Order: sequence, then structure tokens, then C-alpha cells
Amino acid sequence: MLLWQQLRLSRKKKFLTKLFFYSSVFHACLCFVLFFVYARYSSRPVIQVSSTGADVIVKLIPFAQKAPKQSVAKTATRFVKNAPKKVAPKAQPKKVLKHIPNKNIKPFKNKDIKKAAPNKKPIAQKQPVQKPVEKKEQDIKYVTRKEFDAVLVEQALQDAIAQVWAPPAGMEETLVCEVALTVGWNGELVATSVEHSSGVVVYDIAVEQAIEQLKFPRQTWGKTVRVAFKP
Amino acid sequence: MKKILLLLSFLLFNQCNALNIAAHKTRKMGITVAGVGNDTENLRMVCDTISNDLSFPGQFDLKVTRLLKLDDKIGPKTYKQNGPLLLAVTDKASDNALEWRLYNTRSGKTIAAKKMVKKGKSVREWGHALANRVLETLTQRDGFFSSKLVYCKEPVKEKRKTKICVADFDGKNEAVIADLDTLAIAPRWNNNTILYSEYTAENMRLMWTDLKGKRHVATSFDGLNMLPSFSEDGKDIVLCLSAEGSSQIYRYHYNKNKKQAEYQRLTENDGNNLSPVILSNGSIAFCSDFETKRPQIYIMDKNGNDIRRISQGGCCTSPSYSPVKNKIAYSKLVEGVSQILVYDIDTEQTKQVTHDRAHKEESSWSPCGNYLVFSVSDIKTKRLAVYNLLTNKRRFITDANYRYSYPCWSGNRLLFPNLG
Repeated sequence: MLLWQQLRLSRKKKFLTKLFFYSSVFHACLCFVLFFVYARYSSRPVIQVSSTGADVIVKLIPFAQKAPKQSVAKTATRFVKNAPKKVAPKAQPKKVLKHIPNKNIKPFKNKDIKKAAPNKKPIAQKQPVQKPVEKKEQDIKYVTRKEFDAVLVEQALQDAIAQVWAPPAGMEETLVCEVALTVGWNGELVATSVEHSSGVVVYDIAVEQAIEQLKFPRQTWGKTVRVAFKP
Repeated sequence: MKKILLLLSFLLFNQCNALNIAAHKTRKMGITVAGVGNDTENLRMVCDTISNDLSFPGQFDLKVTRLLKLDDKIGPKTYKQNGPLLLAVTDKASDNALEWRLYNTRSGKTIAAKKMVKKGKSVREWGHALANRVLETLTQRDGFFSSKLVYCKEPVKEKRKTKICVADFDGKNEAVIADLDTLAIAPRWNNNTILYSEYTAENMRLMWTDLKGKRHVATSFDGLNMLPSFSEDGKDIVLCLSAEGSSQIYRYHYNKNKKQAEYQRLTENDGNNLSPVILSNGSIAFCSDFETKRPQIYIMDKNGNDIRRISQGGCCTSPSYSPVKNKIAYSKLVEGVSQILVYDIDTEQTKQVTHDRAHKEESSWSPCGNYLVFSVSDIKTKRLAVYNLLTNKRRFITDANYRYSYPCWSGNRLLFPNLG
């Protein structure tokens, strides 16, 4: 026997209770299914912020699961790095030439013309006006919302770590120390695990020092981040 | 409903991002060197030597302190005075050993705890040996603090009077091995002995000396007798002789049956062939002007065949070889200034190491292959400098009161007697 059948409620109240219960369950199931589908098709993007370059425009495609390779879809440009602003050329007023009347003009004679000395200096050639280079398709990177959020997180984290990461001089360029950092909801470091040691004691200790001094940006709170420290 | 909400929050929480971070700056790692126990002169000298040695590479910031006792209960976490590393040294005179422990004061963990037997009577050498071990533990690189430099030293005004000197890797604790009334050049290490060339009225002869200054003549042919080079096992010896005309390269061999030394000629050309260096595979690198009339660097096999040039342009001289890195360093005139270049035998790539306007010549490799010593000369002075290939920094190790030249770096595992 269902609960509302045991309760002594009026017909109207029973109907409303049933409606509320069934709609709640339906909505919960719908959310659950949608979330699973969303999580399944979303990847865990590993995008190096440095690889985007300083002149690459990152364009967000909302509600897209996968970023297209080449498409000129309607996009919302929210994150642009060093993109030149397009300014509409100002309308130049037309020049009006004044008509000079033929009064008091002396007729010229050939005697008045002196031969100019040959110009020894090379004539400077006018350089053609350089048109602004239009961004090609390959300079524009289309990303989904998840990838876009990952880029923001990585950029914030990269800026924070760059201020504290300072290994001793003379380390080999091939050294890498990978750590997984779990950040709490209040920004404090909850757990650290070394996934791949560099094999050099002083290098690993320098990584420990950097992690100790690190202030985690807000975008990383409540997340686990993996960082590879390179010299 | 509650279970659904919990599942949703768990999925939202777990997100992982990987990020590569490259460093934009460097920082020295702080180390506190603590002498533990009774304050003896030996312990003090050992700690000072370790501090001086470990500060040379430019990677560490050292501080020396004294401790009566290392308190295990409180733990090394309390000793965070100067950086995250603590090196505690104890002199175990009864065992004729030095006990050393390396701690990470941040985590409280012991990185290393070892005993080192004292070898020889020189306290400074104990410090060098211990510093080698600490450097190897921290950086996974071979230490070089026990090595020595030999070089020629001349007064600025009184020329043609050369002293053959030996000093520590950093130019300190100089000891004069030979004080000569003639000009001498190019000293070379052969285990614990030195061979150098000196001018006489008839020729330039090759002399042998030990570290106490006892000398005798090694070879004295007509003309030049100089620039010997030894293989790693010491069995193969090549040198330059000009008894048959121009300077050629010969291999020395002692015939036991005939009980005499024999010299096998390796180069057959009309040029001047100098500075032979034996490589790890038995090949010989040398400097010669037979092809282009300007000195270039060549490599030939152990029998003098298959000669190939490795340098291009300029005047290239004074090759020196590092068996650890398998690289050859030499001097080359670049835009009128003698610079140091390094040739990688494996990749056949050449890289210019120095770029300043002073002349750099006669380079020699450290035993670990990470440093080069060479003479730097300008209008007034000629000094010795050590170049760190890891940090690309150079530092002078001699003063400007004398003229220093022909540095040669020894091996690392030799036991040197107390020189001074």
C-alpha cells in the first residue's frame, strides 16, 4: 500500500501529493540520466596553456560536446588573447579644389628653367601599405565549455605556480616531477601524492618547497590537479 | 533521493587536470652543515671544507653551525634555520671515520646516513671526499672536489721563470712543485705525477716530476718533446716530437725484450701536429695545419689512419677530451677573439661556450665533465677561470698578480698527499 493511500486525505490533496511525488522522481531520473550522458561524452582535456600561443584566439562553442575541426559556426567569443581590434575607418571629407582665376599669371619661358643637379641620393621607394593580416582558420581554436573551463583553471594555476617554482640552477632539462594536489573547498591543500619522482633529491625537495608556498587560485578549489614540474 | 544527490555531488567533485610548469627563475637550496660533538679543529676544518666545496657549483646556500648533540626526540624539524637540508657530521676518531647524516627538515625524513673512512692524513681531503658523497646523494652527479689543478705560473715582470703549481679545484691551497729558471709549458697529469716541457739551450725536453718536486728527464730528443697524453688505463701514451723535422705525433711503447723505449710515428704529413688526446675508443684527436695551413682539429684512429676534420674555419687549437661526456673542447679564433667551443662526438654538433672579448685558451675538463678550466688573457693579465657548463657561469680562480697558463685538471679518485 502506498503512503498516500494510508493517509486520510481528501481526493484533491491525494492527487496533488501523487503529482508532486511522481514529478520529483521523474525530474531526478532525468537529471541523473542527463548528467551521466554529459559525463560520458565529455573528456578530461589536457590542454597546455603555453601551446595555445599568444596570438591564438580561443572561441567557445556553447552546448557543444565536441569541438569541430573546421567550422565557422556562430560562436560567442569570450576569451581573446592579443587580438587586434577592428576599427572602422573614419570617413574622410572630400577635398574641394579651389578654382584659381588666370589673373596676374606670367607666361613662363624656357630660360627660367634651370637644370636641376642630378640627384645623387637614391630615391626612397614608397613601401606598400601593409594590410592587417587576417586571422586564418588555423589560428582560431574552437573549444567546448569544458575545455574552456579547463584552460581558465590551468592558466590561473600556471600563474600561481610560476611565482613560487624555483629549482636550483644547473638541473638537467629532462627532469620531471609529477604530483597530484587535492585542494579543499576553502583553498587549502588537503593531500599531496608524488606520482612520478624526478630521481634527484634536491629537485624533489624544491618541488616540496614550491607546493608549500603555493596559494591555490579559486578556480582550483574543490579539485584535484596534476602538475608536472620542469626545470 | 538522498542516494541520488550523493552520487551527483561525488561526480561533480572528481575532476583532474594535468599541467606542465617550467621554471622562470632559480633559487639556491639552503643547507646547514652542523658539526656534532666535541669542537675539535679537525671537525671544524672538515665542516668549513664541505661548506666551501658545496657552495662552488652555485646550487646551494651554505651555513655552518655547531651542535653538542643531535636531539632525536625533537627531530630535525626544529633545525629549519637555513633551508630544508641539514648535514650533521660527527668525527668518530675511534673508528677512524666520519659519520654523516643528511636530513630533510621539512618532512623530518633522513635522506642518507653513512660512515666514511678517513683516507690519508690531510683533513682537507677528508672534507673534499665527504663533500663528493653529499653532492652525489643530492644531485645524482659525480663529485669533483677531490681533484687538483696543475698549471704554470710566471711573474708579470720576470718572464722566462716558470713555477709549476698544484692547487685545489677552486684554485685554493696552491703548492709550488717546481720553481724553474727557464720557461716551462703544458704540464699534464699522469696519476700522481706530472709531466711538463721546459726550454733548454738545445731543445724543449719533457720532464717528469712527482708532487714532492723530485724531477728527472722523460724524453730529450732534438726539437720539441711535449704534450703527452695518456689513456684512461694509463697503458697508452702519445706525445709530440719534432726530431724528424716538423712536429709529429708518436706513440710511446716500452719494448721489454730490448729493454728500451720505442716511438711509433702516427702522423705522416708536412704540417705541424700538436696536442694529441686519446679518446675512450682508442682514437686520437689532435691539432694540425697540414690540410688548410691553419690549425684545425682532427680525429684519427689509433694507428694514424682514417683522419677526419671536426672543426671548421678559424684557427682551432688545444683540444681536450672528457671521457664522461664524450666531448672535445678546443679554442677557435672567432672574429679575432679566441673562444672555447665544445664538439659532441656522439651527435657531431659543435657549440660555442664563451662569447666575451677576452682570449680563452688551453681548456681542460673536470673529471665529472660539467666544468672547464682555461686561461683568460687580456692586455694586462692572464688568469685561470672555471666555467660551469650547467649554469653557464664563469668564475676566476687565480689573482691578477701573476700570469697563469696551461691548466690541466686531474682525475677525481686519486689520493693526494698533503701538499701544504
